[in-house]
Amino acid sequence: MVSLIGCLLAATAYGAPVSFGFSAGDTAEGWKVTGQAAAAKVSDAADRTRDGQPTLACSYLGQPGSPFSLSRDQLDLAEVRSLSLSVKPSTQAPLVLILTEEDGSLYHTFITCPAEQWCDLTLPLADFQLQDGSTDENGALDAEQVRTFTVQELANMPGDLGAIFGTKSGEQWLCVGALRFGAEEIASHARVEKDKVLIEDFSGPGFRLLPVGGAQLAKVTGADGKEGSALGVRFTFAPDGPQAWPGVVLPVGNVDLAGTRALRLRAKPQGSSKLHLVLEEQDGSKYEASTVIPEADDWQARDFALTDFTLEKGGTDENATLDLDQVRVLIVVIDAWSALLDEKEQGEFGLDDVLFLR
Amino acid sequence: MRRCGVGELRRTATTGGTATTGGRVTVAYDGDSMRRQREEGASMAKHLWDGAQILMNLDDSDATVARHNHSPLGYLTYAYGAVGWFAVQVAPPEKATASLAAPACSSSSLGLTGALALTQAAV
Repeated sequence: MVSLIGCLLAATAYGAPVSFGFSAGDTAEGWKVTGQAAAAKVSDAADRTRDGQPTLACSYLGQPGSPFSLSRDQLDLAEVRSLSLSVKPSTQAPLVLILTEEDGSLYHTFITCPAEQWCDLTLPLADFQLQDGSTDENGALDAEQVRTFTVQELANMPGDLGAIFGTKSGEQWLCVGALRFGAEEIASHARVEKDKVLIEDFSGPGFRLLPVGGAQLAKVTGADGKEGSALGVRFTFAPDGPQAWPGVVLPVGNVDLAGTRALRLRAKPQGSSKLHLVLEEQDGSKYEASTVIPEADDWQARDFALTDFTLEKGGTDENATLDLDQVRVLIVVIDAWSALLDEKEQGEFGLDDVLFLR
Repeated sequence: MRRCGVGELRRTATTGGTATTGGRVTVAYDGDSMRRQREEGASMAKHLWDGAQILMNLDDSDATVARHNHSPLGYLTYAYGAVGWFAVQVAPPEKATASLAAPACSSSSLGLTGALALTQAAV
């Protein structure tokens, strides 16, 4: 009895979650979509349901310059601390999740969902970073001020951005189910420990990152020997432009990096390859480091002293110093000109255990 | 896959079928691990570099067949700008102005203000 009362009190203290349950016969009223011939409906078709439940099934025509998005406004997320959702796209979908406060301040995080698989994610609102160029009175996401939730796909972005994040053509679909804003406090994806800050070990569902340069992501066997516990980055060689630099963008702006001295990662290229790393500050200043990973049959750990990161050639920064409290993303790319490729000009490299050492 | 030293080239990699069945590709890399030469059947492409900058492809008679613009990491200037693109699309005018001034936004993305709004439709 005591424990039951305790549970009830806890539930009351946390406030009510905001859930979007989709039932057969429901309409998609209240949801907005963008994109070429974009539409949304609640579907109970077998390949659109999640655990037997209907989902919000969106369809659109892939067309460069016309990215797809889905949004819901007039939200009241007071007391909310976490977001969970399931996403299943027809093709690999790099997505930005955006929360917009009533004053227009934008907070975001990003995920990538593999093709035709359900990608179940739960993340704390604390993982959302203030949008590039956006301003806020306190620089912190205030749940009670959030009014709009947007799922924005980065494929088919206009101009050069399309080459960076990829393009899609033909009929596409993306399903969203089990969408819930919860009052529960959950831990951040990144883990702060005594001697390190683990950014990503790739063991969770989906990918908490963005692919760039035409990278196709997959789960591969990791350094720990476990199947599906590391990231595989597959790409097709292109001599010029963004696709010559395939890789990933990892969010780190939500993590306290104070006191760290080096970046460590494990890599597994198919042959001797040149790897480039960029730590980008909130003002866009970029600090770079690179290394050649020699050919080997197994994973190789590499440490990069933070003092070895240098301001990009021609770049500017207010103090020409890498400020850890300003770092928002880590970018890891391979120079495709250095990669060992197959006869179809396709290559791959593995990435695992990305962390900062104290 | 086979590797061996070839002159200034430190290693080569051969993949695919055989010389008689076709599909065999041999790529040679220099000491900096950068691709310098690619052979497929009777076709050969040599890659001319200037430091870290790839300039052009030459055929086996050293005639130029393609020019390149492989600016090291330059494109990353745009990468995060893509995320910032949404500030331009969905924020109120004063917020959008801040985004337009952000250095990480590419010029190509900035010309699209309003495009999303024009295509947005209530379901």
